[in-house]
Amino acid sequence: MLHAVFLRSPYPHARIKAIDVSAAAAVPGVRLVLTGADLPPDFPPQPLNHLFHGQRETPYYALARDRVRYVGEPVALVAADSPYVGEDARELIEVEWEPLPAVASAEAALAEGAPLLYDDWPDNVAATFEAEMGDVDAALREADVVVTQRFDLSRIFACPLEGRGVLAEWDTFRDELTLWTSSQIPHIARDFLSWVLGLPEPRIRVIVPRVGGGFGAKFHFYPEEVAVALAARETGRPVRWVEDRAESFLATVHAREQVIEATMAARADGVITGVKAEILGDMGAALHTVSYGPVWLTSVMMTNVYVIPNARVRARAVVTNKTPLGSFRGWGQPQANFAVERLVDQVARRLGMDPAEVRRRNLIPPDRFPYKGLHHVFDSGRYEDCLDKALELVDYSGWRERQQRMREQGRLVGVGLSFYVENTALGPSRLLNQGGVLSGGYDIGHVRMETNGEATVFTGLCEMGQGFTNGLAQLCADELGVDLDQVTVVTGDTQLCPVTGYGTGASRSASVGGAAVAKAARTVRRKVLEIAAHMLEAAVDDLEIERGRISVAGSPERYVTMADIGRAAYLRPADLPEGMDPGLEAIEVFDPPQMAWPYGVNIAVVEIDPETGLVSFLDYAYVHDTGTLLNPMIVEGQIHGGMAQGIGMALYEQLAYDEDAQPRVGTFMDYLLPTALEIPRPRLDHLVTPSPLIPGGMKGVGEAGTIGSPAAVASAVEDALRPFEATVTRLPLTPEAVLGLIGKVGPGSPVPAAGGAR
Amino acid sequence: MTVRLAESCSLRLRVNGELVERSVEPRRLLADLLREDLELRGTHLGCEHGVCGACTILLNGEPARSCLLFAVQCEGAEITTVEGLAANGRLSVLQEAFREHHALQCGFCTPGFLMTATYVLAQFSGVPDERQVREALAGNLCRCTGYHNIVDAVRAAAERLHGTPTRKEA
Repeated sequence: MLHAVFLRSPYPHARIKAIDVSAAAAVPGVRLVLTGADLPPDFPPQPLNHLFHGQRETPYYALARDRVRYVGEPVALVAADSPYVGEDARELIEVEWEPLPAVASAEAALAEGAPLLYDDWPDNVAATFEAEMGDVDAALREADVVVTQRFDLSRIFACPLEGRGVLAEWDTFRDELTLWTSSQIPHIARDFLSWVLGLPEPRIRVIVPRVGGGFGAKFHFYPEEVAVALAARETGRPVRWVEDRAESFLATVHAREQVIEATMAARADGVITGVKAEILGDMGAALHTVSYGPVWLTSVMMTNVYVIPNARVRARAVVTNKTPLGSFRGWGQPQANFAVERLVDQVARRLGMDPAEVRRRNLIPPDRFPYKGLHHVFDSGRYEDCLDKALELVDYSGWRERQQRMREQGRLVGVGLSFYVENTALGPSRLLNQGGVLSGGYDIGHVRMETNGEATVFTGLCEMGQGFTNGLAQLCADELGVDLDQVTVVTGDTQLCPVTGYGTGASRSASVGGAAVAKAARTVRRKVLEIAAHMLEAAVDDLEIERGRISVAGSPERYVTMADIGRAAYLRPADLPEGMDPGLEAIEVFDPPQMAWPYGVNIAVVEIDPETGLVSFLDYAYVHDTGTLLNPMIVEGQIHGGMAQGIGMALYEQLAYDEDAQPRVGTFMDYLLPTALEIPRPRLDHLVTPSPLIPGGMKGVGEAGTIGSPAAVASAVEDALRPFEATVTRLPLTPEAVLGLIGKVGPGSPVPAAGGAR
Repeated sequence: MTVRLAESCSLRLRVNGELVERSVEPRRLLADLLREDLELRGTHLGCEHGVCGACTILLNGEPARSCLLFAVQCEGAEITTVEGLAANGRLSVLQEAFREHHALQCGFCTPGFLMTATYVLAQFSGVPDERQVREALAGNLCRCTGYHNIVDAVRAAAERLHGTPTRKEA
């Protein structure tokens, strides 16, 4: 096996005038050096899965051809006997660069005379999206209170603890490629590899082993996957590449970064009448696999959980000389939630109302579902019940009293809340295709009973720690009437597993994937009962299945086991009913009629140290409704983890760049992931309102924890800083930023005075 | 510039109780020796600069980052990796507690947490309180769990081990 290492661009923007690899290629143990110049002239750029109407093309390749647009862009691949030798040789590659002026922010990219990333574009705007309902201008004119604010969401990223990894084996005799990759989209990756490499899909097998966390970052088709496959073809040997952490900060998609200018209109009684927003997404150097999907989603989520009849949004996706932006748990939802919930807090403050009460007055009531908002149709919800439960769980009124007393003692204590809704069960296919998504929104479940009576579930979904494998096994076991340990789940192998319409993302595995598997298991169950009825000489309707034993109701001694059924189906077809085909398996498809919409409330209680600016938690409540819970332990684990990532976004994480678009983060010393000391243990409770759209009623919970937590923390910090009249408009709320809000870090500080601080 | 490949050094150490004799390049990381040469792939590399803790092993009984050690620094050392925790096919009390408390999701950070916590448990004669456990684990990063279930698992293991305070996981 050979080991690949990549030479990456040290420049945010430059032309490649020449590359000399001769010294590198001469190092003993080096088997191949590949550069963009080795790609044929018609070699295709990296394909995209999301092609929104009117978006511009931002072609980029497995290896940069003649120009680089961000620090970290892959320029050359060295395949060697060990990564140590590969890294030695990489040092010897001589590149003649011609540095070009770079843009480091979306606003800089829009400025008059800004350098262009793509020479044939008139500006740096890759796409624009607009949506409108009602009459926002009238709502603003007639409002009793209008609040306007600019919000800055920092660039962060999913940062799975295991980086990416690719292993390619190209059987040059059979001309077949096997590619092991840490991906959330094996089938999409197979199709894209086929398009780029010109090898038919059936000759490509993509295998996703257990993955060490993805959180969206691996819902992308990366240049390294193509380059490593090419290296395997060129050398005729297996080639492995393992991303190291330094690379991961540069070469795995970034997320979240937006500037949102938003306005909210309300009546004196707290009823919100309109919202408008201008969203600027910093896409980095190119539109990646999901295009500007997250920015688009931010724009259409700007009415959140509220009955807001008038709304107008515009999203612009802008290219800059930074790592391409892509998916991270929550997509564009945490940003929208942050902006809307911050505005609701401001409305409450302006009206002198309790922020919980303002929310209550605007929640979509249960009898309005299905509710059509700015773009989506929300399926179901009991929002007010959820709010009440959360307020009670955290003892909201008690905290308000305690807060008063603590304030009098000079302590900075704040209570903040946010209400979120999450888009799950992503589908249906027709809607996704019409919106520009290449892949569908369905999922296919394959259940096979084996000769010994155990069941195997095959799914194209990928396990990266979410635990859906367990959920699918439970669904299958329940449908078949067998014990959980009688079910094996096989995931993420394009040669074994059915196509998953979209991929493993958008909190759709339990809902869409689960419904497909349950459907297939039900089909298998029907045949099991038919075989058992024949063997027991009983009617199907008289049979019951309990722990793998099929018996006649009322006569438990008349039974056959699943092993008997398995044997009959495969080894003794003579035992089958006349005319029945041998075999015992089913493949079923589920394409949801609409998306499902779980929701929840975060309430954070924080205290701020006025000397250091450090934020710490005194309490935290999280109440949510994700429909039927397949496995409460796993659901809670998802909430815990998502919440920790949301708190990371709120307080610690930031992928900073300097004005020349050079990254200032390269290690975990600069990029602070929260540790066991920082994350509060939430009081956690559930409501269960089964989704009317999904058989089984599951909604999905993968992303929920990330969506509302940043806004709740921001709300609590702002509340704690009431004595300073501070307004929280940007994240992360590092100690330095908090001191800035207090006024202790003055002009000239490295942290810009927070927008809106008065 | 020319690349000069370093000569190999001979190395003797014990890994999970077994004597290992190898000839390695001086620059070879202990983590690579364990993972690639000895095929003990439970030790995970999450950052390669000593912050995330996924590669934690016990070096002469104390936690150390195998990504920050050269293999040759471990001449004569006694090393325990995550593969050394289970004995005779049975998970250690701590490992069992991780499983019961859903203390891992993707599992990538888990070996490092297990090694750190194995050491921590050996330091306490009773059950550490939540704050003590959190402080002890603060040198290990987890991106999936939000940590609460890990903390619970460590405390549950401590409770189960209570009464045999000096016990060391094999």
